[in-house]
Amino acid sequence: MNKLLEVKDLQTHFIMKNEVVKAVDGVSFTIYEKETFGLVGESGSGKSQTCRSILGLVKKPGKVVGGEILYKKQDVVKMSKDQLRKIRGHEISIIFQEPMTSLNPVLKIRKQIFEAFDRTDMTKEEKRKKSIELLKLVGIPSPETRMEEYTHQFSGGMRQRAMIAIALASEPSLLIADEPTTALDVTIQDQIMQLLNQLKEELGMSILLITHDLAVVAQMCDRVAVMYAGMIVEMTDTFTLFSTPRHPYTNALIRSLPNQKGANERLEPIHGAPPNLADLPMGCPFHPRCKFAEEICRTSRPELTDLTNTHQVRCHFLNKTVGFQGTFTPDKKQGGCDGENS
Amino acid sequence: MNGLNYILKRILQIIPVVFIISILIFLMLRAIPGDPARLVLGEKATIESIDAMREKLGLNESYIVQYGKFVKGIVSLDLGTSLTYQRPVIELLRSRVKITLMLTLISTFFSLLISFPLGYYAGKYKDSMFDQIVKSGALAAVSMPSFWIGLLLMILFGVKLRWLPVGGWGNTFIEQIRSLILPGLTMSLLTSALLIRNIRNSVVDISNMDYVDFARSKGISERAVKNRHILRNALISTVTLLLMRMAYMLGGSVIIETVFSLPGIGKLMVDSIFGRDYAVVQALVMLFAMIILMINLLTDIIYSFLDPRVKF
Amino acid sequence: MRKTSKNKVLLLMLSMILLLAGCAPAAQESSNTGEASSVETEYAKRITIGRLGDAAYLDPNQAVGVAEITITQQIYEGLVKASEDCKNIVPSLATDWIISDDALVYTFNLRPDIKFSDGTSVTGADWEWSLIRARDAETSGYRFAAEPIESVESDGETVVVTLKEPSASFLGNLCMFNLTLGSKAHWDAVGEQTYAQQPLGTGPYMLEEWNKEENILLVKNPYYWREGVPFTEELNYKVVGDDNTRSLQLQSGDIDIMMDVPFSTVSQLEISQNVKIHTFPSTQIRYFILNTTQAPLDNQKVRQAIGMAIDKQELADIVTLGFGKPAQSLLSDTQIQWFFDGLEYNDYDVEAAKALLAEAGYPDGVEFTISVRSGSQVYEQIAVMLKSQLAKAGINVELEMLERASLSEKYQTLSHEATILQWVDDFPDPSGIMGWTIDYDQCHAWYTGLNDVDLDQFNAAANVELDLEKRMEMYDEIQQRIYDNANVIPLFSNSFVWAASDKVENLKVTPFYVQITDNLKMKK
Repeated sequence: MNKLLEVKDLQTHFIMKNEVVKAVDGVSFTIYEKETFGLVGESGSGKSQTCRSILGLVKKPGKVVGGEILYKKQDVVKMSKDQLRKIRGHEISIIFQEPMTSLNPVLKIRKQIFEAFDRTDMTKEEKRKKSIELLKLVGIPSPETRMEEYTHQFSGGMRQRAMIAIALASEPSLLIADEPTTALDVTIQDQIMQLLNQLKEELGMSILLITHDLAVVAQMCDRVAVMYAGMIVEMTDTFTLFSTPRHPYTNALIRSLPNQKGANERLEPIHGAPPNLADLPMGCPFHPRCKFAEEICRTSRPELTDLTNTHQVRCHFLNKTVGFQGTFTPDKKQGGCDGENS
Repeated sequence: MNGLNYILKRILQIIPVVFIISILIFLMLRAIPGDPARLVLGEKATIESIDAMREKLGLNESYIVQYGKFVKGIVSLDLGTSLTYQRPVIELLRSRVKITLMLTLISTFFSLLISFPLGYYAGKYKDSMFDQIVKSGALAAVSMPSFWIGLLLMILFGVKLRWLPVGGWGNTFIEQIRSLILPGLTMSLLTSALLIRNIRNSVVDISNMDYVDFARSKGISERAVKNRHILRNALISTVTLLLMRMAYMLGGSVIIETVFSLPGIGKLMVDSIFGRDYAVVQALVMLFAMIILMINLLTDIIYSFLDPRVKF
Repeated sequence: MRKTSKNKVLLLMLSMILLLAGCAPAAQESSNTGEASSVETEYAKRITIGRLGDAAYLDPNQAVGVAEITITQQIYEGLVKASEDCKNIVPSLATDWIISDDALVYTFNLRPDIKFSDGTSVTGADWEWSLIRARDAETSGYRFAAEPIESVESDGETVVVTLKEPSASFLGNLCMFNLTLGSKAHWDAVGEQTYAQQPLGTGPYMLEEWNKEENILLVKNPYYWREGVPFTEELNYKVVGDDNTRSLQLQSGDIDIMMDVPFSTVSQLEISQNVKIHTFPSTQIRYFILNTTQAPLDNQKVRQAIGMAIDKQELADIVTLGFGKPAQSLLSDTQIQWFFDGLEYNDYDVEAAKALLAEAGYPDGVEFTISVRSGSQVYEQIAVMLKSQLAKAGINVELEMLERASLSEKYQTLSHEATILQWVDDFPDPSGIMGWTIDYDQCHAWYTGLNDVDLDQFNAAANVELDLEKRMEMYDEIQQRIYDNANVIPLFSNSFVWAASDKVENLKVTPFYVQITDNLKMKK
């Protein structure tokens, strides 16, 4: 399978008067064609900033200060504004978490779809036709009338669908979905997820899915990276993650899910507070909350090491975590690459 | 159509309001001390002549009769004669309103010219040196008294450089425009300061919105982002503010008119109150009331066009 | 509202400003000079005079004030007028006159062939109508000047005025601006209201154009009976309400003459080149008006004490900045013939004032309120200074600032305690100010409410005393008695201060605030 996006040691920092917040501190992963790659973590873990970095949408005072983002072998970080604009929309699109605020409240939906066609030389009629198609594709009824409406006239789920339609308008190869269902009802969530899967199949694109919800990961992703304090702490395919997680944080996350199997086990909260990204402790970022932490964890930051070809973990004590068992068995078949390098 | 009905309803509502205002101002004028007859005759007025003048002006008639004449006059569009200026009030208003209107337009024009670029870039480069300078500049403009600025401008451009007239109103159209440049500029300072702050803050807020990023993510030009998304949304509140300022400016500015010797409405109002020129004050108050009410309505209408979330 | 190509707009704006600025020289030139008159090529055709306010009615017999009189003086003339130094009364439209022995009949011989500025000839009917109207116009505040007239007859060559009773001042009264000649035919044709907007007279100038609140343009009367007068073809009276703006306009050349120069502006104008300050002796005096119907001001000693506690020199120095001096007598010393230079007055003496107050029964001092006109620098200054000066003598004064209308209502109904007013004489005779101050009927003795019946009768007698020497003696006595009554306390007199471009020649203003425009000219 071909590599679509290669992120190498990405550093995105927020440089403010008194402190530097290292939102993304050395993140590397690869997304292949036609796969759904998940990025999981708590809020503040750096997952949103990572995907914003990919499109050059990091808000000031944030800035990509190191690393490479290779899209189809070209480094996005070093691109000029013009080159970046060519990538946006046409190669890589993004949809955000909150569709109400992600759509311009004073422009008609149709106009917002049309914007995606700005760089093409389509006629107005062609644009109209394509827009209707897109809206149908994402399951919006009566698209001809609905596209003359405004954002506030759509329901939450419809807005999300519209946003997806816009994001797909110029046929990107990679769709970045930043918590696309977090703001929606559970029932709608499911619909959107199915829609995304369906679109992925139909259009042959990859999805970079950011979420804090492991259930979503289970349902959607082929491969997953778990982020903590701006770093990836575990990365593998979904099945492995859930059956044999190795990082204490991953394990804790999984344990905090409502139990699928037995009704007896109590939910285990993760002790301690989320990390202060401006003032990370020396050593492993997770150590203050880790029950296996020892001296070395306090002083030395572990590297992301290969357990297998397809499973990386960032921890000093892999032997201690080897006994971790996931409580969750995804019913989705495992996909993605299986150890092959291409 | 619902919208049209609503507009009509609003316009009809204006009438009773203006009517009530007319009664209020009628009574207020007669309640305060000061006798128009005395004032017209001046310091050396004898008691006899004052009485004769009061008769002549119809001031001895009952309030109801006087009010009746007033209302009758409005309906037949005869707003009476000004005591101090000895001209039909309508004529007086017409010439003065024209000046104030032109001044308002020119001042608005300057305000837009100054505040748009400054406000936008101050917002875009928030906290930069430019932003700081613009913010302090706006603060300074608001803090300086307008008559002082007006005089300075007149000294510089009128006396020293001789580029523009030193106050006064012109005869030809060109002369009139020239005579409005300095007062328009002076008057625009306050409005500009307010607009700059509003535009800057709007731009800052809007630029942080997700939909701006989403728009960028489509790969459109930065210019399209600026126009369709940032400005289009940021300026909604600006337009409202601007219209409000225009309503205020249409009421005239005594200070500007005095310093620049422009026969506008502001000075007319003040002078007429001091001179107890009832006919003029009454007419002006009603005019102001209508202007404010109409502009309110206009603002609401425009707002609903600009922001589709707002319905009538 | 979209932001269009801002660069283009900016450029457009800049070019517009430059274009308009480029029109500047042309526009300014034409407003000031213009084409040369055929004879004198080195003098300007038009002189622009900047003043504080516009006129309302240009009819001397309707409600008028300074703003109106300044203009009507150039348009209307009477039988006689005051000489330039204002000491004598000289012929105007009349050439000479005879007064009957009983002083009841005045026969004036008229100049022949006088025309109004529209070319119509003056008839006897015009004289009769004008003078009777001056007496009878209900809304005129100056009827008193024509009050003595019983009847007027004129055949166009003479005017015979018969008085009700002998009047010593009548010839002086005839110098008043409202006893001037108007056209009956014109009045009949246009009616009262329009008559005031379209004046028609025999004077040196006529009304050409009147843009309300902007300017009044007077042009030379082509039918004027005096040869070679006036010199300048056009006088443009421009309204510039703000003092600062007016002086700026003088400096920039937008106006050539500035009337009503505030004392404080003089030093600034003196510095600028091309501007010259002109001062003229005047009859203007400021007075402290005390309402004698309100305690403690009903007590004459109290009033006299107040007079002693005022440092008039300091007042004059600070308020007029050298353009004024203390006044003791009611009458201005510019009225040389009538001024009583032997007046016995009290010097400024705080201790004596305190003593007098104690004598009057107020050893601990007194209190009262001065109602002052707000918005006038001179009045406010005077009030503030009076307050601090009087305080030293134990006289505690409250200042009440009122706008014009409220203030005039207050003192005209005698609801005030004290106020500050001023006076400028209109003709060379003391009867004007004397009548105003003493005659209880006219305005309650200048709003002091002092009904001094004896003095009133004495003044009335002085009005009809035909023997000049005796009359002068009587007015000396009247001035002393007024001083002693201390209901109207003169504060200081000041010159009229005007400013003009240094190209202006022969600017002359009489003590009665009449501008003599005969030879007014301006170099180009």
